[in-house]
Amino acid sequence: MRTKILVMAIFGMMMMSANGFATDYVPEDLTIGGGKQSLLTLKEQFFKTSDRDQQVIIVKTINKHTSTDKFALLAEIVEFDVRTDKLGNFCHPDAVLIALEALVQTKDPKWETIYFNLINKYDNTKVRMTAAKGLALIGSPNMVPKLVNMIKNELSYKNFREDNQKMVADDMVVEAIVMALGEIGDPRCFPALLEIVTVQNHRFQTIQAAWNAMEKLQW
Amino acid sequence: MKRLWLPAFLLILAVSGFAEEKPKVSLTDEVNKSYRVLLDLNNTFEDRKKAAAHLKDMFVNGKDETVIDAIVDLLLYAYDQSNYKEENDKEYKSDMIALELIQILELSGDPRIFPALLNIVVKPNHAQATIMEAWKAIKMIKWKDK
Repeated sequence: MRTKILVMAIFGMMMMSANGFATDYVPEDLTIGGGKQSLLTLKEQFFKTSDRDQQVIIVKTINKHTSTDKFALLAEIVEFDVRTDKLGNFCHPDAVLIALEALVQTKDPKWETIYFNLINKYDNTKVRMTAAKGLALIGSPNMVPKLVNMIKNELSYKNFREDNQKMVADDMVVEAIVMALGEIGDPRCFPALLEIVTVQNHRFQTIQAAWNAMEKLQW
Repeated sequence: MKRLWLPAFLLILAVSGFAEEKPKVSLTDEVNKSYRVLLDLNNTFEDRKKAAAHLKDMFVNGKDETVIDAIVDLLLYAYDQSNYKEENDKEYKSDMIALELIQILELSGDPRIFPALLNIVVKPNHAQATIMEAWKAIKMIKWKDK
């Protein structure tokens, strides 16, 4: 009986996704115009709720907006929890991640401080890794000293253990930062990269990323 | 003179109290009649369906733009049923009315309808068909910056 119910539930879920009726569904061919007025409506609706699905739908809808002013709103959503520095998140990490991915694609240097603050303060690994990717795509050397400090001190563990979730999550962020440093190519990060490959208090993937980054440095 | 303040204050309160019963925009009398019928979810499904049809007629043939204001108000405040359950017949029928109201908005393509439609597509307070109709109506908005 239980198996029957389970099979029916799985089938039901498959049917829902097959029809595109996900709970955070937004039509692919949607276009939102209306300039600042409709963006304001979207902003008001977003900050009315902390519900995951509602926030995701609104962020996806903002992405469909025709105005470039949408990026300022996406940036506001992305940095809201970091800026307000409250306990717990108001913006769901899934919504933040979608907004951040759209920002990152702009490769606009004006968002680099936001990316750095996310890497430094946000409590979701995927978001922090995407923020590091944002810095890599910008390729600006401004952030190199701060990023180096982060991987050498704040995110480095002398007794790194792969069975410690927090350490592994932080190390995934280190890997993303190392990749970003490779893309930036600034030789000032060489000592930090060398430390990663020699001390080896990181995951294999991070050490490999450090080797790759070293090859990309522009001496 | 002081004695006049209290009645004047009460008069203002009474007027503002009555004013809240209407949407903030002024509706034409014909539209207001149908709006009143639709506003009360305890009115019968048939009466509300007739009122919705009347609103459609007022918009299509009567070119009455206040129909849009009335519907936006209804969708935002009366037909936004929290904890909506399709198994509840009364709620389901009200949602069918909401779907008809959205179809009237669709004809307008007016950007003023966006907040009401957005409120529908984000919340789980409606049937799937109603949400899909709201998306369709959003896609049909004639944005003024295009």
